[in-house]
Amino acid sequence: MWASFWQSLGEAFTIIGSGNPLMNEVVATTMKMAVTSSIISFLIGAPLGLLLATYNFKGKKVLVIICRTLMGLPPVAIGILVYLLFRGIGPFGQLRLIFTVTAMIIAQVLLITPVVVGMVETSAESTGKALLETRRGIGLGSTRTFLLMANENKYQLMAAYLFAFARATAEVGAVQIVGGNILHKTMVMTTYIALNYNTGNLEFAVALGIIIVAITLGFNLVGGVLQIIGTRKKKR
Amino acid sequence: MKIVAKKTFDRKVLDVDVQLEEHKIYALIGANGSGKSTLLKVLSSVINPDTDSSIDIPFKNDEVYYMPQMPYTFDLSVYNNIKLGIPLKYSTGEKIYCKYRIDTMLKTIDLYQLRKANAQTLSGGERQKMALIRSLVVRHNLLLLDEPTSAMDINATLKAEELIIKYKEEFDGTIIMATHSIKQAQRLADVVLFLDNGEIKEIADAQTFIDHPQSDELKDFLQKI
Ligand SMILES: Nc1ncnc2c1ncn2[C@@H]1O[C@H](COP(=O)(O)OP(=O)(O)OP(=O)(O)O)[C@@H](O)[C@H]1O
Ligand SMILES: [Mg+2]
Repeated sequence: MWASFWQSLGEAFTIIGSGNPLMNEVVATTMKMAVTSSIISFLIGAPLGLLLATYNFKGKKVLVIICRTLMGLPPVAIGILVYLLFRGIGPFGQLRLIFTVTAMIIAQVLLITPVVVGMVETSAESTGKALLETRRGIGLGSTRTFLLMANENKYQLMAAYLFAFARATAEVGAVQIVGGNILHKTMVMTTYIALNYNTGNLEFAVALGIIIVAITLGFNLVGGVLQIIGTRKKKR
Repeated sequence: MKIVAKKTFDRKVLDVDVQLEEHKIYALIGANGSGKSTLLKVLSSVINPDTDSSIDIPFKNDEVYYMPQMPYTFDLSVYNNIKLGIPLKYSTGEKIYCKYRIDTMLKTIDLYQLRKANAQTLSGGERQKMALIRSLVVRHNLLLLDEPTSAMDINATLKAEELIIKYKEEFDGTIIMATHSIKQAQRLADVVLFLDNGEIKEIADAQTFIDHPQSDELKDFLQKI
C-alpha cells in the first residue's frame, strides 16, 4: 500500500544523495544530449520564428502549417523516421550514427525546432505587427529589424529556450528508438526509466524520475515567469 | 512633384492627384478618417496603393521618411531609440554630427535629462518628442509627419515646431505634416491641403484658408475649431 510508495521514494532520495556512479553517468549523458539539441534547435528555431513574426512573404502560411504539423507529430514517428534514415542499410547508414548520442540529438532537433519556431512566432507576432509602420516608415534595415525584434522579445526567447531544454530532457519516444538505451553509451534518464524500471533497480528509476521532474518543473516554472514578465512589458 | 495615389480598403479611402513643389512645408488638414494617414503611408510605401494607381514621386524609397501617428517605442533607452534614425552607412564624422544634433534637440525640447531612461517608461507626449527628434536627425528628401505634436502640451508643441523649422532651414527638404490645428498650419506651413473624404478639396496658404474658405466642408471644418 502507501508504505511501499514512501519506501521507494525514500530509497530513491538515498540514491540521489549517494552520488551513484551510474546515476552520474546517465545524468551526464542526458545533459549532453539535452543541452546540445536544445541549443541547436534554438539557434535554428528562434530566428525562423522571429522572421515569421516580422515579415509576410510567399509560402509563409505553408511554413507555418508544416511547423504546426511537426509540432503535433508523436515523437515515436520522428524516432522511426530518423531510424530509417540512419540505420545500417539506410541512406545515411554509412555515417554509423544509429545508436549514438548524435542520432539522439538529430531526432531531438527535429522534434524540438518546430516547437521553438511556433513558440517564438506566437509570442513575437504582436510585436511584428506593432512595429510594422515604424520599421517601414523610418526605413530600418533587415539586420536592425531582426535585432530589435529579438530585443523586444528577449524574455519570450529565454522562455522558449528553457521550454526546449525541459522538453529535450523529458522526451523518451524518439531517443529510445534511435539511441537504443545502451549502457555506458546512449542510456539517458528517460530511456532507463522506460526500459529498466522492472528489470533493473526500481528505486534507481524512481531516483531518475525525481531528477527529471525537478528539472522540467524548474525550467518550465522559470520559463513561465519569463513569459509573464515579457507579456507585462509589452502591455506598457 | 506630381502625386497620384489611390487606396481602397472596403470602401474608397483615398483618391489624390496633386502637384506639389519641393522645398516647402505642407500641412494636411481634415477630419478623422479623411485619409491623412493613409496618404502619408502610401507616399512612404508603408502600405501599397491600389494596383491601378501609381504613386509618382521623384524620390527613392529610402529618401522618404514617415513618422507614424503612433510610433513604436522600442525597449531601449531614449537615446538609442533616437539613434535608430541615423543610417548605418554613415561615416564616423557624420555620426558624431548627428549625435550633436540629437543632444541639441533633446535640450531644446526638455528631454535631455531623460535620455538614458528606458523609453517605455516615458509618457505619451515624451514618446512623441522622442519620435520627432528621431525623424529630424538626418535630412530626408521627403519627410512625412503624422500629427507629430498631437500628444504634446502647448509649450512642447511650440518647441517642437521650432525644431521642425530649424530642420527645414538647415536641410531644406520637403515636409508634409498632418495636423488638426489650423493654427499650427498657419505657423509652419507654406501651403495647406484640405483633405475631405479621401480627396483634396482645397489648396491654399493658411491665411487664405481662414479668411476665404471656399467649400462648405472646409467652412464647416474651420467653424468648429
Ligand atoms: N487597414 C485598414 N483597413 C480598413 N480601413 C482602413 C484601414 N486603414 C484606414 N482605414 C480607413 O480609412 C479611412 C482613413 O483613415 P486614415 O487613418 O487615413 O484617417 P486620418 O485622416 O489619418 O484620421 P485621423 O485624423 O483620425 O488620424 C478611415 O475611415 C479608416 O477607417
Ligand atoms: Mg491619421
